[in-house]
Amino acid sequence: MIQKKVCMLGGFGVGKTSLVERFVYSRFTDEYISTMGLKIYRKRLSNNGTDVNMMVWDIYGEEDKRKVATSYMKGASGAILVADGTRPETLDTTTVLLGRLQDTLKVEIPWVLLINKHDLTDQWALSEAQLKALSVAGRPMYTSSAKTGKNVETAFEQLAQMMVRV
Amino acid sequence: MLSLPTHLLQYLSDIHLKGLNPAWIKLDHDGLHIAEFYGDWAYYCSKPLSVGMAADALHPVLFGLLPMTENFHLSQISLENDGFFDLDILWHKGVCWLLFSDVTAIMQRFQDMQQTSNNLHLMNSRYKQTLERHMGSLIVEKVHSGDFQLEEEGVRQHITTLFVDIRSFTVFNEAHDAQVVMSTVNQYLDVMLKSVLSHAGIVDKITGDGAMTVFGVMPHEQSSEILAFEAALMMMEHTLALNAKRAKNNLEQLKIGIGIASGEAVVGIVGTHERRAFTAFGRHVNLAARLESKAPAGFILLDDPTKQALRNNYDQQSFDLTHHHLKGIGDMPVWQVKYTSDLWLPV
Repeated sequence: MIQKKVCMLGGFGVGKTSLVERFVYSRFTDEYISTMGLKIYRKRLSNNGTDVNMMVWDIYGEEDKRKVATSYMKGASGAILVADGTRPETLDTTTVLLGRLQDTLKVEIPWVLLINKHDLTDQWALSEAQLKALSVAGRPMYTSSAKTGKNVETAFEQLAQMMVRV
Repeated sequence: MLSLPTHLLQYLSDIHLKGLNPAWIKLDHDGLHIAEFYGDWAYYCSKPLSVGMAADALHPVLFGLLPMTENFHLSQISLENDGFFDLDILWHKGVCWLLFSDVTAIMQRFQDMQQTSNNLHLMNSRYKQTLERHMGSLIVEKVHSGDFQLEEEGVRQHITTLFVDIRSFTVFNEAHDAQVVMSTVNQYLDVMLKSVLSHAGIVDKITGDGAMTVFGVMPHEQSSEILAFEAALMMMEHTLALNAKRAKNNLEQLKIGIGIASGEAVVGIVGTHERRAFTAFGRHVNLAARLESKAPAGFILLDDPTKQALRNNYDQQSFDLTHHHLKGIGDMPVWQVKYTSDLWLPV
């Protein structure tokens, strides 16, 4: 069994906690409770015969006045970057966080980008063309919904696969 | 600090340090295993501690961090008992120490502020999105940047007003369930409003099965008459496309009628401090509403000033002159365009 630390990174209110709760406990609530600091979840996955114990670090969301400290990123083997498809500006936050993560670790680690809240169709603000542009060059990107479970398991499984391969 | 009397130092220690409930560990020289431990570890860790035990078994937060060769701080880590602690890893004379401090009380005070702040940010974002939907992203950007201001006392300017409405809606409304009506109206409104927003128009109000929209409030290289007429053509075209799609699904097809008039108006904000709305006042605004009420399904009715402003841009053969008696206005010449999929308008 191998253990891997995975950081959930994104702006506030994009649904990081909801995605982890969906992935680990298969549950969802519409109530928004702002994450304070850090909560660690564990989930065991099996990848091609290798058991992976994922330690998912659900870290508070980045804000203008409260950046995510690099100390939370130390020792990470992978990251799930989360943006909110109803707030396109949160995509910029994921770019900033990815840069900070790579600067902190000094090495490239596997990551997957999730554009979350795809169930909110009437508020969705990203066109197909914009999504296509985001997924260029084989970057692992999915639209997701913590509410319906869309692509949640897929994203974590893909990340596990990428981390095992490294 | 050095001269602080012992009893005051003790007092400060009691109120600050004891509240933090510190627990600490001295690690072995390998920086991995417990050499000594002190404090209320039962609060932080469900496992009993023992000398020689691997320190990273205490809490998952330590996984991958040890051995640490520099001072390190990690704040606000959640505990299984709903508490929070801060972790400090400190080096002193070649020995590594782990310090856990309870910050639950601080976090509880902070949580309310954080929640309120985030909720306000999200509400602001939703407000901006709603504004964009009614006025278009162009105007919202200009409002945010201060390039465009809606004056409370109103600004007098030349604008074009377009009213659009679904024809025979009352009959449709009475024949269908309210939810079907709501969803159908939304489909048609989507077509109408997108056409307005893509031509720098502003949705003044949605009138159930139609809308009042204005053009020319936002600075644009095209005249307000051309923008409004282009928006009307797009609405007609997209309504035909929507109807073709609905026909394939054996759904009822609805048609729209449009009235357009131009003139001077006062545009600005009306309402109370709590509930404000953008609107336009002017004689031609009523005229546009009357024209829309007379427009048969698939027709665009225009007043003479609007038609004259379009004369260099569209084939005049497509405009038919009619006369109407309009309630509260009287007899007047009205131009009409019957929209068909093969309508050819450019000069």
